[in-house]
Amino acid sequence: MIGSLKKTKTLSYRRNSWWTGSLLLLSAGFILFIVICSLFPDQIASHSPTRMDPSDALLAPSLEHLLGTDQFGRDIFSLIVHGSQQSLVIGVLSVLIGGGIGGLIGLVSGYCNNAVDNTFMRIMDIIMTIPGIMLAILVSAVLGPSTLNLILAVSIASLPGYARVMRGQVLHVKDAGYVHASRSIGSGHTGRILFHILPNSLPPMLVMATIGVGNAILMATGLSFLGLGTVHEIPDWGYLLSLGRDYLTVAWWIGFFPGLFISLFVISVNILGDAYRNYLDPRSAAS
Amino acid sequence: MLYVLSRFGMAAGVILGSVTLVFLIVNILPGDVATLLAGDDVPTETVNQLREKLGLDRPLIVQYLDYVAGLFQGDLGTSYANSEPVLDRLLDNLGPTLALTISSMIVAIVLGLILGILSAVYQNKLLDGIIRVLSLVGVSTPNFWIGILLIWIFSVQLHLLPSIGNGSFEQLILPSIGLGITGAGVITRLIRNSILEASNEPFIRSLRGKGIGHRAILFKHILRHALIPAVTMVGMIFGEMLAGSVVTETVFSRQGLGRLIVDAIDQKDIPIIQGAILFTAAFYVVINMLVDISYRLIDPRIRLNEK
Repeated sequence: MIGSLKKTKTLSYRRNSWWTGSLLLLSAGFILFIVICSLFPDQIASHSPTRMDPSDALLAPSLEHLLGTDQFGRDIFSLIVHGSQQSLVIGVLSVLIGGGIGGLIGLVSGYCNNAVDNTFMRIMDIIMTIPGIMLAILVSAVLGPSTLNLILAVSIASLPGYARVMRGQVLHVKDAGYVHASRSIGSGHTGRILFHILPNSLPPMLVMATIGVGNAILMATGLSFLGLGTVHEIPDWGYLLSLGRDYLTVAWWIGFFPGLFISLFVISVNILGDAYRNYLDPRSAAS
Repeated sequence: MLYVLSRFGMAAGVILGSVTLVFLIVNILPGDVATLLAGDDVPTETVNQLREKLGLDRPLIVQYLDYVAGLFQGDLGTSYANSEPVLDRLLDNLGPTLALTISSMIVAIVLGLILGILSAVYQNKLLDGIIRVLSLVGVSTPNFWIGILLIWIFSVQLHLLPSIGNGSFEQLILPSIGLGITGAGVITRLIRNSILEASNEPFIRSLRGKGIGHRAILFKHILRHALIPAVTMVGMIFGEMLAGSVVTETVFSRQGLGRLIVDAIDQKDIPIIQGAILFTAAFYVVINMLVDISYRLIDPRIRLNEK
């Protein structure tokens, strides 16, 4: 019970630590596996993802086809392995772009005076009123479906979050003693921002970016589920899942496994992000 | 009263801002609507004729002022696909989407509140562990996949509930759970954290020192304190759900704003998409305004600060 919270803390914290530790290891392992899949898909996939064989269509999972086959007789496991590249690239690039630009806006906004700060933050408020998926749908609809547009759409949608966190950090850091000290020995704006404010504001941004990769992949798979992604020869995870929806009654594995991979990947990323946050702020780990 | 009025003014300003933003995205991004509509292999004259017909050849600022002036008269433009007024088509489809969003919201709040409280009360026990894993899975799983799994389990395997269509209450159950689970995960985590945080506050410790029972402290004092961040979150989640309904409606083949948008994407019917997004943005702003105002009811400190 809440009343006995203090007494059990040390004990349960220790008991939790091997379990969180192994969970962390599993997550890191799974992420590593997906990264390797995206780098060397040909070595890991058991079949060619483009090989279509009508006689192999809609086979249930077996030793020959680990996760079954789709309506064209393509091996689902191989499709997932090859599709990982697309999903990973979208996730990482949209975080780099969204986080980079958002971070820059937050940095300028937090450091500068009221007028600049106000303008930027009101723009961010406005972007926030349009839910991420909607904004991404609009951008993809106007620009036409393509991987690059998908990345752009997800990046724009994630801007306000990064900008707000960065601004909050900068506001907090810029009045710290060491920043004033550096100013007192004559440092310029650029030097102060680059060597003192930026490095000290980054950690929460990195936590957010880690978790952001998961969110970006969720959003991107949602968009390509709706048909706003690219239709390559090799479908990405979201599109593969949408193919599975039509065959649910006869072949559950087409829709099940791509979704499982998306979930496991996002769960792993979230666990890693949480662990990183707890490492930076041990107080949140205790609760 | 003054506060409520000023919040109204701010909300109107933000909605005007999102109108402008959406307009800019549609018109400034390199994609050309007329070319997109006409197709690739069409001579330039046909594209130009189309552009003239849709009024896209006018200067941007004229188009913008025209659009905004239209908004004040309840005119959101006409659909490219069938020349119907956008507003009529949106209003026709609003009902089912609102029903889905509200029932998912109920699923999310009820599940999130119960699980969050249980998780905090049994902190670091087995039940807490299970709930924490469940809420992590909830926030990390794409809701279209949950939807597909629900259809597979409850419709295809067990034949318990209908998987597609709308109208009856049974048809609302699976989509609401599918859409509500993500929100439930977010709310569970938030409630757990804020209860644990609140239970270390000095005023709770002094209550405990006075010998008041755990249950009374939890329900009368901690929970009220912990609800404040949760209420903020509810406003944000409502927007996400309104947007998430696009995907959920596709999964469950339901009629609604989401389907309207997906069909509009296929037909490149930009005015419909534009209008639907403005609808969601307006809803989002209004809900969050209500949330801001409701703080004053929950948290007396905010009321005091203003005096």
